[in-house]
Amino acid sequence: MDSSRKRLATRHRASLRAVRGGFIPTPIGQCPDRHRGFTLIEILLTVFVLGASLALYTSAAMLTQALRSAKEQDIALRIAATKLEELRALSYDALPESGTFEADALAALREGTGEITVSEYNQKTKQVTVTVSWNHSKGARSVPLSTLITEVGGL
Amino acid sequence: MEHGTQDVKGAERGYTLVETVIVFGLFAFIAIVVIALIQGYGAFYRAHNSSVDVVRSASMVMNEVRTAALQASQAVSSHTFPEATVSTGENALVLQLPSIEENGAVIPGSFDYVAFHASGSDAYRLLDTAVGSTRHSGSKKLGSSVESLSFSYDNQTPSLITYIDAAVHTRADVSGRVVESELSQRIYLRNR
Repeated sequence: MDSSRKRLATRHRASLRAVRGGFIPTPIGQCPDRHRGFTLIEILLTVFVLGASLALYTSAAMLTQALRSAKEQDIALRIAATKLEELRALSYDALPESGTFEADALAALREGTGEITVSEYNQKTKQVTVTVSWNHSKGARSVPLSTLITEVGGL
Repeated sequence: MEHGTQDVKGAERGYTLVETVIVFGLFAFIAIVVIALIQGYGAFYRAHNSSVDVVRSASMVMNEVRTAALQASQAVSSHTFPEATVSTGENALVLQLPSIEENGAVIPGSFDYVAFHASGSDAYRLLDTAVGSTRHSGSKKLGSSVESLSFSYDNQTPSLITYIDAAVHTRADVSGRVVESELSQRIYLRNR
């Protein structure tokens, strides 16, 4: 009799302790703050804000790189076109052998080099290809321009 | 809800000073970060826009000069356009182009005139066409932010010029950062 009352009291104390500790599930509104997680809205907002800033940053970096690439390509194209014009202005017999060429504007490109390839297209025609290569941050880039130069005829 | 020794219901409990200060601090911090992010991106956007403009202007001017020079029969010393009289020199170029009628045939003895020059920081192409020509007369703005547009030639006499060294330099100053583009090209006239 006495022992059963004692057991009951022990159980009561244990359940009281459990309530104070907050182990028993209670409706959300009454939950102590430190046991409440983040709500879906909060998580979504955080992810959205972080994602938006990351997207802005990467797009900015990509835009800068694309512009730089366009600028370099433009310079390379002008160098190649100028060289091709020079070669066209030469007579057919004076066309140089295949090889490299120098140009002042090549200094504007990182590790810029120029190359001329002259090959026989047919008996009275030569194919001339001018290639300007440079080092872009994402590997080597080049602009090739090609033309046919005939034995007779002007520019 | 019971907190410590206070026996007041949660709904009626105010915020403590520390809580308020922390909330204000966090709010200010987040506001500063967000404003800095937006301003930084705005500045970047403006800088990028003018860089695009600088690169595009240089390219556009060069393309137009090349296109006109390839069609030209010769360079001329000067021509009077409805807008202004332009003389071939270091800063301007005047070309004579055979007029072309609608079916693509050249009109014999009839010429159009085209001039390139920079006025202020803008580069212009002036066109004066003969009757029956398919080209359209008028002034066209080719690009802005032009720092210099210069031409040099192999001959002092405009009519004897065989090639043109054209150089264009565009430049813009965006909030302390300078963006510029320099292009140069040699163009041979197809006249001989």
